[in-house]
Amino acid sequence: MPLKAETKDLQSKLATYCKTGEMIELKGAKQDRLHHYRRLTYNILKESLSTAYPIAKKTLDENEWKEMIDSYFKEHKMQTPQVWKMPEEFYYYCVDKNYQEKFDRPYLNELLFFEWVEIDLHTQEDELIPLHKEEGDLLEDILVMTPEHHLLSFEYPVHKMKGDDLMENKGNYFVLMYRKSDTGAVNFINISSFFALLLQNMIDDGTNLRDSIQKTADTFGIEGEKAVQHSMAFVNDLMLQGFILGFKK
Amino acid sequence: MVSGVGLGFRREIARKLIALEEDKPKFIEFAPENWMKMGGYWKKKLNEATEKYPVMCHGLSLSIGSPDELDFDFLKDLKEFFDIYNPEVYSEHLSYSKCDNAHLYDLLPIPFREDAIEHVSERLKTVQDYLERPIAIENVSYYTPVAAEMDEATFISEIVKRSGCNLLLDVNNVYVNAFNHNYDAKEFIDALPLDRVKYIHMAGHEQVSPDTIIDTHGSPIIDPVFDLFEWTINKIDPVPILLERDFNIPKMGELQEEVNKLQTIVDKVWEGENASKS
Repeated sequence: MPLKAETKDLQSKLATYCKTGEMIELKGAKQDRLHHYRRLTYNILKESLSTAYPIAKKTLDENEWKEMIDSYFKEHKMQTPQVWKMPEEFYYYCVDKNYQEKFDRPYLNELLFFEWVEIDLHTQEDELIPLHKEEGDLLEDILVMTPEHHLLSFEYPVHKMKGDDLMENKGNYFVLMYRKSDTGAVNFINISSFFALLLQNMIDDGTNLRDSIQKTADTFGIEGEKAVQHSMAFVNDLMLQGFILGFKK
Repeated sequence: MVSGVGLGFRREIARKLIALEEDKPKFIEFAPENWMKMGGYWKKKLNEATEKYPVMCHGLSLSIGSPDELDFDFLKDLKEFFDIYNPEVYSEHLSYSKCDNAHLYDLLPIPFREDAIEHVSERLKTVQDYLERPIAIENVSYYTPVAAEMDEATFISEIVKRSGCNLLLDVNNVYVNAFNHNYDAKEFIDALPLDRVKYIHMAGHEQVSPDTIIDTHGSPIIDPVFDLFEWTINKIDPVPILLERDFNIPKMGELQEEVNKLQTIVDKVWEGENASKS
């Protein structure tokens, strides 16, 4: 026997009430108890989003944050069965609704994205680390990087400033965010545009540091030897910080 | 089969639980949805914990009572997860948490109706076949019935009978529902197919108004629920018992005391002078 249309409708009405908070008459229900379901489901959503986006929540005023959550719960159909992944859908919803323009907070999308990527990196499934050795030639060998990383670019320095300071510091910012393979902690480093492109070239081309420096220096019109010195210091630091794991075998 | 009292594996107590050398719970339980498709630090912790303790899994998002289609992508992930962690029991809630293609992440009450019994039973059979393992279905706490055609015990019993699933008896939920809906908890338990109980949950709750208790898992178990637990386990064969604590999680020592209190009752009933039932 398939589920009757009436039963489906009853279930749908209760679920819709939870999402919208708009009171319903539900056949055979204790009307004065229905609000518990709205409260419980709403609180789970609110807590999950507050935990995922603590800086955005603090940056926005209370009404703005509430409006985003209420609309999201009401309009969006949450697809993931894993509640800890649900905040990613919230990010895309907010971008789609263009809250940053509505609230005149042009950094909002970047801030939400930055906060979500940190969670995503911390929790993403482990990737295989290529075989590598600890000793090698920094310039000539292929460097092995921790596979769980993102190279990010922002117009607003959401990784190091908050609130109004963000508005006053519009520019070009590059951030290397990665998960340390030993502790699982997520680190992020503010890097220059040169080093961002250098890392991108190394990742995309699979080339050694010397060739990647040359390509990057050509793009920037920088003299090669000077770029080598700076890049070696940068890469040494990335080794110390656990992003570069060693030299490909 | 694991016996005795286990504890919910939560991030707040993960490190303590892994490090525990004495007075350990007999097993741990976790929600697969909270750990599936996850790497990094927490996967390491989960692996450390599962190397140390037997495992039970208690699902959150199967939404067995949903009017929506079953989510086979989710079931595939679940099956792969079970292949890795091999839980001794997989349990889920007799409720729905997804409707109109949207997850709500909490447990909504299924109308106690004949068509819902058939719908849920067929889905349980499908899921059990797909996962190649039995499901123990949990009696959930609910704050209002919806257009009920029968009582809760009949609804649950029929689903267990028709689907061939097992029963996770949540004693605290029985207490909560009995209070909220003015029925007798012991009569309710007597009306269930107790031979199908394969797992028991125990937890605390919060009374939010003179006539309403909410199943919060945020407080210690109260004495009347301990009493109902002892009365209940006198009627069934030994099964694993879980202490659930999801909010206001206290220090490990307090949780261990609560686990030990349950274990003392279990030992008295199932290994002591009242053990003739088993």
